[in-house]
Amino acid sequence: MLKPLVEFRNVFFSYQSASAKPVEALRGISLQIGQGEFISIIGQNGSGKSTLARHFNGLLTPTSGEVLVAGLSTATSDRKQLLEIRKRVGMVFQNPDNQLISSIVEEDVAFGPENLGLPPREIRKRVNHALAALNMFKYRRELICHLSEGQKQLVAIAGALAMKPDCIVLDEPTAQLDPGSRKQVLESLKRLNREEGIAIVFITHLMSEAVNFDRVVVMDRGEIKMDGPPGEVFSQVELLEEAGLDIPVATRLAAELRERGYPVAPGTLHVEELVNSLCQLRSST
Amino acid sequence: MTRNLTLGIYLPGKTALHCLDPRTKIAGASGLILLLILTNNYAAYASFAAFTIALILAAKIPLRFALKGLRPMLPFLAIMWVFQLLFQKPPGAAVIFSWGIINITDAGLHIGTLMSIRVLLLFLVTTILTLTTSTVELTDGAEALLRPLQKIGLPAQELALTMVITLRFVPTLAEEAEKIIKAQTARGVDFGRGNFIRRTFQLFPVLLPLFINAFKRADELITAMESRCYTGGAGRTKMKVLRMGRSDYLAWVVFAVFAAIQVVLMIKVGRPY
Amino acid sequence: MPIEIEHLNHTYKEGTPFARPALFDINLKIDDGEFVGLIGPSQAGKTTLAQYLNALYIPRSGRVLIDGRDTADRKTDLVRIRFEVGYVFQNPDHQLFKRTVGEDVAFGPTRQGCSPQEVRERVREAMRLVGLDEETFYHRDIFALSGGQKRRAAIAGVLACRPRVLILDGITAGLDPRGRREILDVIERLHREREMTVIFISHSMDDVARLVERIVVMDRGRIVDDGPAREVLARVGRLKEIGLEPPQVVEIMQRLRERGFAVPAGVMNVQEALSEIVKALGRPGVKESWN
Repeated sequence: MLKPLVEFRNVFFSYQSASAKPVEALRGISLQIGQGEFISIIGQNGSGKSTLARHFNGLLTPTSGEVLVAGLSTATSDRKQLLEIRKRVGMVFQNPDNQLISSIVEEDVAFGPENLGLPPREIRKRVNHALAALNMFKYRRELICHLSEGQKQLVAIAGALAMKPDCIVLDEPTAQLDPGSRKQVLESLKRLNREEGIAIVFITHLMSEAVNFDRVVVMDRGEIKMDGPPGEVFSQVELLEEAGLDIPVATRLAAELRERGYPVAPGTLHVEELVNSLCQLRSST
Repeated sequence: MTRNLTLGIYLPGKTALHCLDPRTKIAGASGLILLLILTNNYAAYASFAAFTIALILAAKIPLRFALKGLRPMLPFLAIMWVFQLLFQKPPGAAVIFSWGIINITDAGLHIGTLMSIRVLLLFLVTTILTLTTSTVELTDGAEALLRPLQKIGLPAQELALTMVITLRFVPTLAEEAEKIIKAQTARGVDFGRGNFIRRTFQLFPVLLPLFINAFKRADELITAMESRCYTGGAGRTKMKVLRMGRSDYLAWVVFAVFAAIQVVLMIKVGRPY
Repeated sequence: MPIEIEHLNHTYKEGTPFARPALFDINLKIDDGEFVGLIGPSQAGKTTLAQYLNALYIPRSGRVLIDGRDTADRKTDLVRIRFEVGYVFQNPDHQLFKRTVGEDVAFGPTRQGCSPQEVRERVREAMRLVGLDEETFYHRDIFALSGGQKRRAAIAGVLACRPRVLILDGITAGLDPRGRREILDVIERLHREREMTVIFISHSMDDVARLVERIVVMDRGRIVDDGPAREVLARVGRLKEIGLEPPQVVEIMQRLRERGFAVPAGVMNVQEALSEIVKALGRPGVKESWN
């Protein structure tokens, strides 16, 4: 088997505070993420998913256990190693306003490559490529403050892409966006994954978003509750509700109908699937 | 509240002025400001004003928009003008108006008026610079001009980045302040009323969330910068390399000619009092 | 307290080179006790329009009448209108400014000139309505609240002023499913118990479908649809066109209808959908009878 891109080995993490007793946010996480995977990590607030995100590039390091990126441990005092890790794993956060550094789109996208000390021509090439990949090239000279929230988030993703990472981790990037922008971000990520082979780790609390990924990891109270393809994960309606998550309507209807004795396929995720299986049911009964 | 703000706003464009090397523009604006400080008579100011308006037109900035930016300054200027009028009494100045203990001299009138004009023009020159130069170019220019000082320990790169971030957050925070003011107006806080002190106190509920949020933003921004491999100024490169061109040399010639005219006007006409 | 808007236009950043029109000829009437959902993609003008309703914006073109009072009339008491038309903003951090929950909720009624006793009474009631237990939360520091609790505290602060109209602007955005459910429950209860006019602004059709009786759809500064919730939601295609995602239930029922299922249009919740589907399918394993 190929060496995993990112590997969590029995990771525990506690937030230390001077006054109160430490809060355990991650409890024994073991997780492997391979080249080019398309993963969603889902959980409600306080499930530890953001803490997990910050372990991917060494912003936080485990209290015990270890995180390896391309075989390199994130718990290192060697700056070069940490830079190598951050070059490989890009990060995008929830609020685009608090992660963009420059007032102008292309200047912001250039920030990362400039930090790497690349020659100007190479930076320009990467910036243009990243903006084009996110359909933002025509906005390259725009002021950030004139963009919509969704466009700002695409700029932030372009900024991560310009580092030529193996993997991009996005921590609830759509939480503040309207449905239209949400869809645009999701579609862009899918394209990056399919066309550029970049592994995507997408953190969310929305089931309706998670269903679009190839693999879903459900977190609850600092632990991984489920890990598998969405069809498999979402068929376990009770476990999901226990984790405080909203079940997609199509999935819920399917589950309720099964309970009433209708042979609807378990793990129905999308509207289309449900409608098709209902139509089949009708013609067979 | 941000409607009358012209300073610090960039109006994208493709005019010759927009396309100059930012170093030329920063140095040019500094030169113009120096000239302004030296200017001592109405004729020279008139010539300066004409030049300024020519610059505004050349940059295709709507003249009304540029002038509107002066509006918030008018009350301050008026106060300053009155002060000069009342208290400037250089020896030998002729009294032109007298009422009780108030004596107004011709010198006071001239000094007050010249100073007001100077401030207005100074503001216009700075506005032209910021309207035609993106903040990024500005900081690139400033960084390039300051770089020689890096040898004596001035952290030019870090200063420039601080500028970039500050400017990036001005519109964000202005927008947020507006939202907070609205949210609290909706709760019955009345920002428009009361005397100056009361109005200042009423701003506290606005400033508090703004500050608290700003710290949160700063924290998130640092995390984002670290994630993008920022480790300080050393070893960074720039996507854009500044290069002076023909139009820059032309601009320098224009500036030299104008400066010469101004100097002649200053010497030949002399101060009016 | 009816609200009437006539021929309202709005220009964003008027008088600057960045000026652009934001509202075009808006006409809208909202009656007492209505529960209205105002939906549309971002930058459709929802917030701008709503801010005319409590005199945060004063019309320069067109008219806004609150209970017959013209907000552009110099004699109208705008502060009073703002107390009568309560506005809860998306970000509670912008709205909360006292140290503790109790102090903050008390701010409005104190400004209204209520007696200490009356203030106390109103704070108690408001906190009860939003489900913040007084014992636990009265002295709780604002910073120690979770996202959902902060939003409820912000709502309580507005409710304590006893508004007759309540505008809720994007208050479920960014909350996780549990926080969202809690907030929506509060709003449902408010409307039922208080018979207040509620205007609920959101880009989540799921939230809107669950709550409201009437839906006003905005897009690029115009009202593009307005009617009973069921009817508006049934026009799925139109909603999708402007970038809104219709609730999944609505979409499922729509598709079933297209495929010849005998289910009614405008079904808005899962339980209803379930019983309609069961009805249409007949009993499991039993052959459907001929119609």
